[in-house]
Amino acid sequence: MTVSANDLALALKTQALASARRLGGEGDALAALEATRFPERKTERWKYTSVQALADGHLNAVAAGDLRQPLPALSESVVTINNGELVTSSLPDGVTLHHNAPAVAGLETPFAVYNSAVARAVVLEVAANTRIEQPIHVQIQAASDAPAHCNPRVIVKLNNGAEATVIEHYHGEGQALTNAVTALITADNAHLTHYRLQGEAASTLHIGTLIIDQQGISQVDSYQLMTGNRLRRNDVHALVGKSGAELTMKGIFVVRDKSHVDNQLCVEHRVPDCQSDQNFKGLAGENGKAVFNGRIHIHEGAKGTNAELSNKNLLLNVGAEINTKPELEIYNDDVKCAHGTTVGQLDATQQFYLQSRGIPAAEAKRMLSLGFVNELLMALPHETVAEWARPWLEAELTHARPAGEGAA
Amino acid sequence: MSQAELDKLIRSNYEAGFTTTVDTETLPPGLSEDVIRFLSDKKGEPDWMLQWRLDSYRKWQEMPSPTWAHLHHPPIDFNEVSYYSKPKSLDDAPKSLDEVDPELLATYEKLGIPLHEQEMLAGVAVDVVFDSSSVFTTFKEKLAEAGVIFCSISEAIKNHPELVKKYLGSVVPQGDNFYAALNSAVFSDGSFVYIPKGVRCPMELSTYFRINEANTGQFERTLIIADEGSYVSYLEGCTAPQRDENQLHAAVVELVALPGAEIKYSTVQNWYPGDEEGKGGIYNFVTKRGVAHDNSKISWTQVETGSAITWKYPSVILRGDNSIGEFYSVALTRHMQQADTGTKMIHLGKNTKSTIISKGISAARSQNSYRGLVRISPRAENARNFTQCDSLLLGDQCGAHTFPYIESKNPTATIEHEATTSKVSDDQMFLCRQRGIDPEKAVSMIVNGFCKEVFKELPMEFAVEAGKLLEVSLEGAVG
Amino acid sequence: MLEIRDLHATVADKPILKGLNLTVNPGEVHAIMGPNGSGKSTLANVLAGRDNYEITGGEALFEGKSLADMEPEERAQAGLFLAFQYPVEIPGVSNMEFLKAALESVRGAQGKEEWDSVTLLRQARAACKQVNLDASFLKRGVNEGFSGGEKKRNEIMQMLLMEPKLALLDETDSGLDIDALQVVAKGVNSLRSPERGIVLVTHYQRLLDYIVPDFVHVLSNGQIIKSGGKELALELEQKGYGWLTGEEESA
Repeated sequence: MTVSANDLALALKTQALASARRLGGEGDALAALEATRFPERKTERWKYTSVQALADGHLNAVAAGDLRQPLPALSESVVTINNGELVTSSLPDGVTLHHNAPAVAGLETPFAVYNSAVARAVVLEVAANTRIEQPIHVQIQAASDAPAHCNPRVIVKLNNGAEATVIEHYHGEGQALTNAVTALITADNAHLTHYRLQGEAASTLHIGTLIIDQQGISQVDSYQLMTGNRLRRNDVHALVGKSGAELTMKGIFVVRDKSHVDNQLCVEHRVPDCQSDQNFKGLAGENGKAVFNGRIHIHEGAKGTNAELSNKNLLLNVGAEINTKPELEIYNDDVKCAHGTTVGQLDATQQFYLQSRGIPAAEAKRMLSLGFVNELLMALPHETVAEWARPWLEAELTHARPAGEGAA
Repeated sequence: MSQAELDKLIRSNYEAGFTTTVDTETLPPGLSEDVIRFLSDKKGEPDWMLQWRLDSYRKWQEMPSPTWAHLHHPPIDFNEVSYYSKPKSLDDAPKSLDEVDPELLATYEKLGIPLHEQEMLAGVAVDVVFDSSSVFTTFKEKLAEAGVIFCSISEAIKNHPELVKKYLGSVVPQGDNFYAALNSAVFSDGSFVYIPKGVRCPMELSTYFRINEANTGQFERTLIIADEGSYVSYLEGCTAPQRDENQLHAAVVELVALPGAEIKYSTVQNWYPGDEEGKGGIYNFVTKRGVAHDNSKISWTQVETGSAITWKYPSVILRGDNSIGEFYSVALTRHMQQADTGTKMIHLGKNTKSTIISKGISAARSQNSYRGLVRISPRAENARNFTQCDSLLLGDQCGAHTFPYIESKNPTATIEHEATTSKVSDDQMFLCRQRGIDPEKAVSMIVNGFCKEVFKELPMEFAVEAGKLLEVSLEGAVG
Repeated sequence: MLEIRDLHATVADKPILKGLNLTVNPGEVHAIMGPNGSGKSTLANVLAGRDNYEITGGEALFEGKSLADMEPEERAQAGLFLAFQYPVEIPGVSNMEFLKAALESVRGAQGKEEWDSVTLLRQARAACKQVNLDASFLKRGVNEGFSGGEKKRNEIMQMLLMEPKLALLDETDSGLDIDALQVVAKGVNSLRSPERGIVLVTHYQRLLDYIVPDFVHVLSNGQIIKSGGKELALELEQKGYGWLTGEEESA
């Protein structure tokens, strides 16, 4: 059954409020939820993404299913959160897990506001001047046979001079909606390497917000790999907040079948002399739909900012769709800003070259598609992650075959 | 470069800011069906035209004004605007220039647009619109020989109703958007052009728009039809007096390029921008769109230096196979100006091609936004788009923004979009000054260089004017 | 024509020149040499009036007038020309319109007759030819997409056209191959005349094989520590700067 977007917006708000009250939401967080509006037909930030799938009633129930194929551990340090609840953790010295969560700045979507009202945050705090060698594998899993949701909330906090790697890894089964909030907070001289791996089952939904809050002169390198599912929406909001801070984000998104990915990135420069660099590559095949909105916002006074964004996309066949919008909002002349976007197809000359060497067309396309994102795969600094990511993406790309070619 | 040098440059005066004293018949402010009936009657329009206007008015009343642009202005009270103003001397349409009010002629002389044909630049026919009315169209007979119709839209409604009925609203429907609906209800005058099959229009056609009367809105409507295999180059210039109040301008331009035709539409928009404190200036809400049929080409070139508010997206619907759309734009904002301008390229046909070159220059406390849409429909095989979107910021209090929407549903399409921002660097200024060039001249040279890709698309006469507008003194001295 | 007395100057508030003395008379060619960081380029930029290069003590007089009181364009109009070490690109502004603006300003200020477009083009083409720069460079943006050598030759081309009274060449030889170096030297030599002063700022003796200086000065730590004839340059080539500055120098 299809309901109108505006009716659905009202229904979702009613459901979210009821659920929040059931789950014990109160105070300012609940008031904020009362004041928020869910996406309506003309809500600009949801222009290309319908939340129609939620008409199935995901917000009415909390996911409680058992996982059939839980994630393998990619490290000795593991934190497991199933259906929004912390299950186990095994952490090295220098990292403490607690629930005394700081307020998170920059949350904007109604779903994040709802998460704030109900979630019990898992805070991973890295002690000052400590270098954590082993990546921390944060497994965020959800399962439900019927439409239901969960609200994981993870806050990674690096104190002065801390250095760590966090793998934020999502897994979902059945009809679960993962309504996630993750915040990365870094103090002076901290260095965080962050992975965001999103490979939930095609039938699941994911609506997530990632906040990167660089409160100190710090470096954050974030790698975001994702495939599409029934609905995937990622709001990434980076606050490059202290002069000298550096941020890089690199990402790959692949959509196929009828899957959907909507990435809404916003990098905000409020202070002078910071750098940000974003590089995202997208592939859309079959009837997949990909959305990328990359916004760089440079406030008055943020002199000496150096900000760049690149988004290159391949549209592999008829039926697939890519919508991209690189935005600049600049209130200062002393900046270096550039963005570039392309939407295209595989290079026919290259394809012919491979085929003329005896490589079948489908294989040639797969090779070239992989080649398109390979630059970013090669850039992954941890071999364990790369080893996991490569076959996963290769499988996705094999699946995202051009139209007119059989599954064989 | 120092702020003082910049300030001096951007504080140059608005030379078209004088007012003309002519006796006018001006309707009191306010909008209603009666007002529409009155102005339609005044213009002696047939009933179908009146009904079309009333229909548009009813649509408009149902519509909210758009809020999505990066623009901030107090709400406009559409009942404080007068929808009709006409110099009394035009009551009986002048048959020759001798009959045109000398005050009006003097106005255009002062603006550098001599209407006396013998003094004019050879090969440019001019239609002149003063407030709500077309003053005079030059070179009519010569154009008629080639079968070209170039007249005011009012005349076209009377003399060529079949063409007007067929094409008016065919590109920009009455209810397309808030301001287009308003224009459709109350449009005063404007130009009409028809180029017959296979005809290459023997001269450049141009229209000069001038708002004079205070509190008067100007709602011109332009309709250009290039029949199969024809060619026309059309130029448009705009000025208004310097007044403290904001004046409203809501125009609609429709272009129809039938198979194999080419329309080149150039604008130099220099409406009064308001003063340094943001007082006064024109609110410019314009809908410009063309439909390009098979193998045709529509090219928009605009140089926008005026208006307190600019809301304008000259667009091309690439309906036919192999059609081409182009958009070349320079938008300069200074003082407290706000511009939200760009284009839409809607690729529907196969092998369609579009090029967008946008150069935004922001100074003082102005805000300059590029807003664009490139849409590739599923059947637009092999569509191509290239977009280059550059911003130059002069000063640390201005803003430069880019909002390019890119939507592709065809895997054989190729889209490329690039954007950069820059400033006039200290090194560039020092090199110029070390060679003896004063800072003001140096800035205008650098700005002109930044805009060069767009200026070269303008017809010669306009390129000169555009260059002058940006205080540029040397253009094309070396071939 | 150039009289520098006890010149102190800072770059972005950091003292670089610390009491420099130098006199250049018409017809003379001076070479200023010295290790990296000695203040050679600073001197050239201070004389031309670059922002953030500030005179904090002493004076620099050009034909009796204090340079400190003059804007960069006034110095150019007075006949002072700086060939930049790193010529900046100005996209979209063609070399030709740039030259026209510069020559109008400078020739106008010096009371020389104005060149019409035809004359200007003829002169510019001749100057290009003299430095082996194809005339098509005149139509291109100032230094836009030029190679390093082309930029340097473009500087010399401008110098030939502008006929300065005093030419300052800031490391014009750096990054040039031997052929380009000879072209540049030929251009500079053609400007040698009894009315004109030339100051070559250079790290290497190589340029001085082709442009033989009347005087050679060694700049170190913001002061001229030794002056001599052309043979001083050869000595520096053999011994390096260490024997003068008291430090080992590895460049």
